[in-house]
Amino acid sequence: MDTIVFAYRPPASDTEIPDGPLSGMRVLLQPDLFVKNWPADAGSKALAGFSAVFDATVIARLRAAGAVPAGFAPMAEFGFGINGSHLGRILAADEFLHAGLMTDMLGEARMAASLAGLWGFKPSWGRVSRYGLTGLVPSMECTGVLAKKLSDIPKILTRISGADANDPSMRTDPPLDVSGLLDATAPAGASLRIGIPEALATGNAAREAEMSIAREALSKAGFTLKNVTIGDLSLFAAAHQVAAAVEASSSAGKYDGVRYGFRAETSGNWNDMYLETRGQSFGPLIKALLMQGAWFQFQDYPGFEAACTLRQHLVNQTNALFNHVDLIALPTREADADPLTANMPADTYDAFSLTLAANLTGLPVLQVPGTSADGPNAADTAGANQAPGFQLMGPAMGDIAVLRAGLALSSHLQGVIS
Amino acid sequence: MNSVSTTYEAVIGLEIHVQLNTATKLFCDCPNQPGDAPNRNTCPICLWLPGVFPRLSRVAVEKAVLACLSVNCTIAEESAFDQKVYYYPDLPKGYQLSQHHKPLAVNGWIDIPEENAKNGALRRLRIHHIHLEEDVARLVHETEGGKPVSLVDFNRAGAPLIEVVTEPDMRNPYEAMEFLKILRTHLRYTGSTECSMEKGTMRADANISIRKPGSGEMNTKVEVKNMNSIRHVGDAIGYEIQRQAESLNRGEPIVLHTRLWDPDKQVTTAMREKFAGPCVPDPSVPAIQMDQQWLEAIQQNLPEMPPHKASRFVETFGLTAADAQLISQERDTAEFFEAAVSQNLPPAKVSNWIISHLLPGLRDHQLSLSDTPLTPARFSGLLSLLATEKINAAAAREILLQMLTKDAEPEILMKTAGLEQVSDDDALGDLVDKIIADHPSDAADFKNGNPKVVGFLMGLAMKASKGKANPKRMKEILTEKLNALQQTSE
Repeated sequence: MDTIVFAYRPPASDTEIPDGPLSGMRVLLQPDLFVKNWPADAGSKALAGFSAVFDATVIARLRAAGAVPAGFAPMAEFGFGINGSHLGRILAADEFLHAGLMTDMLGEARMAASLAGLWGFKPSWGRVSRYGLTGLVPSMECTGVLAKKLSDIPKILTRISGADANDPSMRTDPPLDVSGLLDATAPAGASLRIGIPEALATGNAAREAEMSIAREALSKAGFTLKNVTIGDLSLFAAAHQVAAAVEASSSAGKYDGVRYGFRAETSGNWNDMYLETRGQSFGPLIKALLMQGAWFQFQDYPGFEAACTLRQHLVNQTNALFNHVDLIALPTREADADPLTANMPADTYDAFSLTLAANLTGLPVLQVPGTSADGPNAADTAGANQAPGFQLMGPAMGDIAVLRAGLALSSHLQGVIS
Repeated sequence: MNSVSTTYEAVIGLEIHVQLNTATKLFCDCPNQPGDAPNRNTCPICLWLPGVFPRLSRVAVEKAVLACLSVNCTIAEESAFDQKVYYYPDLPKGYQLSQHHKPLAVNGWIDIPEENAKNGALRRLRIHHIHLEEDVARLVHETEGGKPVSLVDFNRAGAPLIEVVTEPDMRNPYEAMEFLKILRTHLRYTGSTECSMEKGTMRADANISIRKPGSGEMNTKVEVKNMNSIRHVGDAIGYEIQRQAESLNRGEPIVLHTRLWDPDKQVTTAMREKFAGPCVPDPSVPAIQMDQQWLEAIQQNLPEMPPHKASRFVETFGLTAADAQLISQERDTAEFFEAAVSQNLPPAKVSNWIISHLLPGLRDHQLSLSDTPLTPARFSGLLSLLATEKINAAAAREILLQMLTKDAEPEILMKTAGLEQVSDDDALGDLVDKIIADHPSDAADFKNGNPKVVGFLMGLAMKASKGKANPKRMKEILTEKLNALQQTSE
């Protein structure tokens, strides 16, 4: 096993355990979420030396509930993809940690959970405040929760969700009410209809094996399985990539090295300083993404508009599926695309092709850990041999329904912790 | 100039930025006071730091809507912010939040008097749309130890602006200047903005092209910036029309570009083009949904606009059209007039005193009504003193000027300065006796049938009274006494 290396650990004085409903829960974070006075570089050289002047809303709410920010795990630059991210692995390996928060733009939180054999949940877009999140793709990103025990996820969500005046982009709903969910006598929701997109569940040995485990567990839990057609996933990827690139280009515009972060030495004028600074600030994946975004902004605006139209179409089409089923079960990752080494937009999108639909549509989705004879956390730390598990996606703002189904399902899965 | 106007016709459109006078900036709670000590009015939102979101000010939206309504625009049910992408040190976020695809308001208009019109004919100039946007930071270029440095002041960053974009309806400098004057009057009426080109709270850019008269063509336009008075706008447009005409006459085509007005040399010069970026919908600022209820609540704050006010003043108070227009130019003047008239004074008298004495007095002292302690009650009190002959007109003018700076009732000022009119016959008689005694030869002239002497002696008598004498009574007594003198000698 690798040595566990945090990107930042707070001094001992910061880890006193306050009272509250989450008292003593230790939560691992990434440096794209502001924790007052902690470094806030979001994994990018562009923000080297920048530190947070306030607690992100989710951090303030976690602290108020008694949870303890345990430290930062190394992260992919601006949280796009998981090349360089260690949060899932550290969380799985460190017995003192209970949960982790990880920004999910393409499926990062679910993918990290899948690779580490953990539960992962991406709430509906607009459920959780982004105030204090450095962010990159505003319309897709959402703070995801990873946990060893599924029941910790609703406990955390009920604390961090709900309207925040500092983030007017989010919905104005109150915090998620999970009171009926964790009650031992809560109904299992046996009448649920689960849609399985046939085309995604077949045609590939690894996927077929994983989805057959999913079917078995879903059936045992008493759910009704139905075939659905989710459409061409490459369209989801295309719409996601164009919109995400454009948004990323705008979001990263402020990283110019003038006021904070890294600034390159140059003898030229301010234009040269910008070019040098930005050229040296970003890694190859982000640089390629920003170039793509700038291309659509400056050279092919109609292409961007077409992607927005396509996105709306895909949102409508996906929402319509929930007229026939309550939830949709999806595989999580492809065996032949490795998200840990993807370092260009094309291979990153390949690696997240099964998860990004929930980001494009803003839907809530649960990553159910893969089961193996040895239990979920027994795979090697790189996750290569860890069974991928599968996703349960719900309708817009149907976060509770997704979690309830997950809890009902968990007792029928080997080696997972409810 | 004559040859130009017969050979070519100008097509002019204006883009006018107006700063709203809200207490806070457009997207945060920082004071909207760009002139304060540099970077004093800043926070993570208007410094455009990571991790924060714009929080749109409801008050700014309402002030902007009021401004749009004052120039007859239709308010959009849904308007939204876009990111206007460009990279420049005054915008370290890399984009400006503005409304491009879905502006706040569309299809407005204002009427201007036709040039040289004797019959009050009006010409309607259309407004294409008005949108909301945030101002950018201010760059200050200085030298530190012989090395040039550029400093960024974020006090202005995020200040609320509206941009008024007209249709290309104007044909000459007069129309553009008249549009700006009337636009300014209307916008000021709403109380949403100061609208001062001199102070930079109103900035106008002009798009100018020329064509054969009546051809209807839309030719390549040139944008002219950097005019900081309405007069400069007229001068710059006039110059630019001439320049383009000469260019065409030499066979040189007009090229799309931007020029800066140089007020000292009275010319426009080409400026280096800023890289014009695209406008992408902003994913984080919620769209403005203007429902009927909200719109009606805002509409209730819309005051009566100057054209209505002026015609009502003609109908209700019998003012002349010219006086009514002058009185209704500024909202505070018009409201002051109505309040003063309501104290039972003849409207023509009130308007005459406002136009001939109050407004020039304010101009001379570079004051606006709200800067002064003068109230309509004090003003009408002064006019009552005049009407009841407690003071004469010269004293009234003097007291009025004092009231622009002194916080006191007119009676007090009258007594303090000893400006009370002397109407007492005995006192005036003594004065007249003395003047006649001191000027026997003039009195003799009168006797010999020269009536002009009365005017001369009257002047001396008023002077001797230090201007306080009731001139009417004084003249009567003087005439009486001179006539009596004539009779005794006969």
